[in-house]
Amino acid sequence: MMTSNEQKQSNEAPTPELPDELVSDILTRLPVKSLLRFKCISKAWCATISDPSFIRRHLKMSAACRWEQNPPFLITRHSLDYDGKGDIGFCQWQQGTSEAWLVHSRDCTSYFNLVLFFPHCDGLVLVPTDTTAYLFNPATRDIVTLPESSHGIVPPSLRPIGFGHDLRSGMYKVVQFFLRSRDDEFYNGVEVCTVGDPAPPQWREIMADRWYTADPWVTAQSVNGGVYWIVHVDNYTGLEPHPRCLLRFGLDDEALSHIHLPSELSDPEDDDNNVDKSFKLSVLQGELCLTAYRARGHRLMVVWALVEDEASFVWEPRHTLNGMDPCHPIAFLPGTLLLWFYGKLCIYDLRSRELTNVCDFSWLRYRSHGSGELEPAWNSLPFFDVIPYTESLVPVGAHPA
Amino acid sequence: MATREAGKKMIMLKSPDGMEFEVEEAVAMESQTIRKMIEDDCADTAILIPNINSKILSRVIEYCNKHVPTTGATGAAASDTVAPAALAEDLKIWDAEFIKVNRATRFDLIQAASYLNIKGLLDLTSQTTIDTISDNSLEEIRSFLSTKNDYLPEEEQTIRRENQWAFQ
Repeated sequence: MMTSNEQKQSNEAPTPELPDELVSDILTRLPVKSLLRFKCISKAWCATISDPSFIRRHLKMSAACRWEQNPPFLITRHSLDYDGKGDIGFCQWQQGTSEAWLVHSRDCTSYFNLVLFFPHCDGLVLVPTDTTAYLFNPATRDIVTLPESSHGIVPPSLRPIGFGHDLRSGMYKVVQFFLRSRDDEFYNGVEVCTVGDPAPPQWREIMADRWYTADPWVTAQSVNGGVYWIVHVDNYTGLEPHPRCLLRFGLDDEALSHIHLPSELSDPEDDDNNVDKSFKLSVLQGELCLTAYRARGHRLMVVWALVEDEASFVWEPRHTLNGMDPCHPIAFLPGTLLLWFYGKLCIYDLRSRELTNVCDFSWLRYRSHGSGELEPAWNSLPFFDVIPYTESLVPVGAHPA
Repeated sequence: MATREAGKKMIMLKSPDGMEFEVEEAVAMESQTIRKMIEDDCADTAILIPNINSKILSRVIEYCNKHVPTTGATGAAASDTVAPAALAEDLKIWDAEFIKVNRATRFDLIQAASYLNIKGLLDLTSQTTIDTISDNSLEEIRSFLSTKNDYLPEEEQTIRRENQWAFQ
């Protein structure tokens, strides 16, 4: 490094130049849209911007820098129209701004009635519908349509699905539970689909004849090599009752395991309430977190973090929130938690215990591409989700539509 | 508390063109590279900073002097009474002035910040460069960074078409 710099200096180039590695460092700080444009600068720039190690560095920078300042969020619309309109759109909103903008929308030209609970990881968003599932990168506008399951799926048609980044292979793996009947009995199984391979994605069955499944009404979370769901307690299939727990799918070893709830939550006497619906999963500060009321009837909320302790997992209490209405912590910023009150985003100061309104999303309007007009908000939609978002260049397999 | 003379350890930084700069250890340690040298006991009384000429090194020291945590760095207790927000605002204004330099100096500062591993200075110089280039045309960026367009016209058209929406 020294010698090359010395050479550069002694050559006294007529125009100032930056070494390539510093140019690429600077590029990691740029938004995705600029980088896609900058692929046209030169072949070397195009190669840098498409390089997997650059994509990882850019992701890291995107996560670190943007979250320090004004955290961006992605607003995902849950469509419950019964006209079979296959339109999926993402809006982005940044803390501190009064309007959102349309990042990407796409007519998926397939028919579905239901699209909800979007798992996300590294700038990718998984869009499960009642017919098929799509993996989007809204920032690069890449999309891959996942193949149909090799198994007949019986109602309810929303299947538990999640995905995450397997550090060992560098690939993203989508995992879903399927249900099939045999001899009048129902069985659950798990199948995996790897994306990012040159080969078209395909489902591989990795487990069959399980008695339990994951709750499809809770968005899967992915962090540190695992995908997490809440185990399903509804007995719609006549399956055995399950102990309250989480399910963890290991992305590298493809093994499914149980994780017990924090001991305060697993009191067997306290089973008249549907506990699984009353606690929330989120990824905060790189840890899987579980948020629940510590005791029924109290408004004291506790956030536990899952910590790997040698071969096992333990829950450590991280934060306590006083006098809280039901909410979902979706992000941590130094000294504060961002809480989602199903339509409203608030910031909770962990020291002063003050709750401040950040944005009421039902009144937020958005701007679409190149349009000066503000579109009506999504208050006509029954549901939408707001997810912390880190835009990235991570490819989904780049199948042009 | 320690007095300025006795309590503050001084470090000599030498540039390759033979200039010497005496700075407080705390100021020099804004650079993670120098901090490591000091902590590993690799630093004697003087540290030679290769590749960074005296003009740039003096600007880097100026930056570190301003950004060293305020406890006593200014030599006055007055800074204790200034609110952190006001201090941050003051630093922001100072940074904006500091970075008003020509392209060659800015590139030298980026290289110095990278070699000396001074995160704040690297963030400042890189961000200023990004602000300069992000809205510019491709041709302007090429000329600013002295990058040659080695695409054939039809190759460039293909790449452009693939990412057409990013140009809108």
